[in-house]
Amino acid sequence: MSSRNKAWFQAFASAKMTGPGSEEDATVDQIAYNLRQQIELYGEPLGPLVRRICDALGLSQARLAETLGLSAPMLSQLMSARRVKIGNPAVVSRLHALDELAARAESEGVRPDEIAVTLDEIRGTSGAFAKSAPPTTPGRAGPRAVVREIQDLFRSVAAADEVLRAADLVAGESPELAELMRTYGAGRTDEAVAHFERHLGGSSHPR
Amino acid sequence: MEAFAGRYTLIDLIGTGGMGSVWRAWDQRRRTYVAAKVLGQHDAAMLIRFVREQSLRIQHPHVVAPHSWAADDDKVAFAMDLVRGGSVATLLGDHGPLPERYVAVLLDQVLHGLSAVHAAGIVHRDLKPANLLLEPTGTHRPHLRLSDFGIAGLIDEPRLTRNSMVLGTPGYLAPEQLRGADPDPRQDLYTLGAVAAELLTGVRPGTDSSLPIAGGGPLWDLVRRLTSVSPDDRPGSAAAARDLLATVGVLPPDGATPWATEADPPEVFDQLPPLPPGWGPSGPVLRPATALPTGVPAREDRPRAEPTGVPARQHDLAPAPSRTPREGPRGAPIGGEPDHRPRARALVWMAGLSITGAAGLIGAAIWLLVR
Repeated sequence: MSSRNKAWFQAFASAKMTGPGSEEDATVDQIAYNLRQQIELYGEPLGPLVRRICDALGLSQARLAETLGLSAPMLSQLMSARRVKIGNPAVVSRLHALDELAARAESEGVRPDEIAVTLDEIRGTSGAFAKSAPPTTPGRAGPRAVVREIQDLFRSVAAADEVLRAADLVAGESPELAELMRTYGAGRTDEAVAHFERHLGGSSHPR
Repeated sequence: MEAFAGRYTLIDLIGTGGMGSVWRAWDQRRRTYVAAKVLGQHDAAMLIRFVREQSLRIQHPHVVAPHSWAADDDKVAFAMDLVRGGSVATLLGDHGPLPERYVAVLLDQVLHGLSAVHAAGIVHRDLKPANLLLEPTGTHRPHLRLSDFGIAGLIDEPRLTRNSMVLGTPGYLAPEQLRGADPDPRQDLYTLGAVAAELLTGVRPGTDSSLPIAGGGPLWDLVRRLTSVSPDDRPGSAAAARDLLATVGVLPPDGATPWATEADPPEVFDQLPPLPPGWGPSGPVLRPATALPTGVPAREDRPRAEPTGVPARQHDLAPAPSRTPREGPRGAPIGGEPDHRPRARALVWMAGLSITGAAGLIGAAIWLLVR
């Protein structure tokens, strides 16, 4: 897969170098100007900077793009100075973090497993957009939905009058338990929600 | 490569989501590239229903809805248009906060698509940036398409199972949706407001539902209205919200690209990698060196005799007869058996027939003359 990614990346890079879409902005003068701009912004052109990081950390450019939170074609455009600036500030801070890690790997050596862990940390730092957007995950429902489920559970086991009779039986022993049974097994939903929130209000709130 | 359910040849993985995976695939019946979303049977139930019901056939320039599906042993593939420019999430990753006028165009297109979706009686319920796909338009005007109706719900239909799981993406959900309310189009308007705030600031809504509402000005006023806690304070419909957006004054006129003259304008690239060997712009290709002069195609290009697994319920809505870009030269049969014949072979037949015909004509002419 990684060789595939590399081929993908190179294809993007070469397509942008020679492709028909680049005729207007790809003049030599413009590129030279863009390179100077990148030096002002980032201390050196992004092409050599990115290649140095990739070499030091043993990363493909596709993998680096993914860690930065940039798309592969965007990284390619920046590296060839077709585009000057990294618009997303979170990407800039990740690039700085990667540059530090690369410098450390070059000077003192960093174990591969440590590199992997640090890469994950960097990828996860704030504003990680791109493909790592949070998945469509189930969340916790509000109290009302939970209460309705508990009511459904009671009703699937016994009818309301049966619950009330049973509640009378346990009332002497445990008034709280009797109240629970009456509220959920025979009461109105609003009362049950109020009961639920009285007892679990703090922790049941949707995250 | 085995075709999924005898119909879709999965080529490469182009995305993974909370549910299932998305592949670039070759649709053998329509003879076109599609995006195939592969789900387990369990997750697929809603989408199957979605595709099956007549009212859910949404044909709109700003919507990508599945147009057909096929089921294998334990998985279901849904085919839809292949959109090449990534998503608004990719755009945000590449650019961070976007210019106000660019955001206005994106919002206008979402609302346009949403009007059609809501008119069909559907609430999308998961309009996060990753589900807003983009055609690769470079620095020109963006072309956005709503996608991923995986957890869509029907308006006016209480959910059949009242369970305590809320589907959707934390941070983008309307407060009432978070409390388990039944589907309502205004929930999509809230989510779109949250997305708009993210587009303008580059900051994702917090999972505690805090929104990055940061600025002043007419567009922000609209964002605030969209994200009102009470649905009654939001615009009444997507169309109403679109009208409001038009009055805000930041929406550039048709065809105008005011951001293009600024430095570092937003740019939507083609995000799909090149096709792997064996695939060309118009489908599977012959091996150039091994193709025999008689036109017998290389083995790989022959159709698999019969799909081996349990075949395959297939369902094709919107048969899209003439939209298929390249039919066989003689016109593939539509709606019947899929025409698996490689095109090269058909071309050879065509050439053979033409030559025979020409020879016949010349022969007849000579015979007439000589007689």
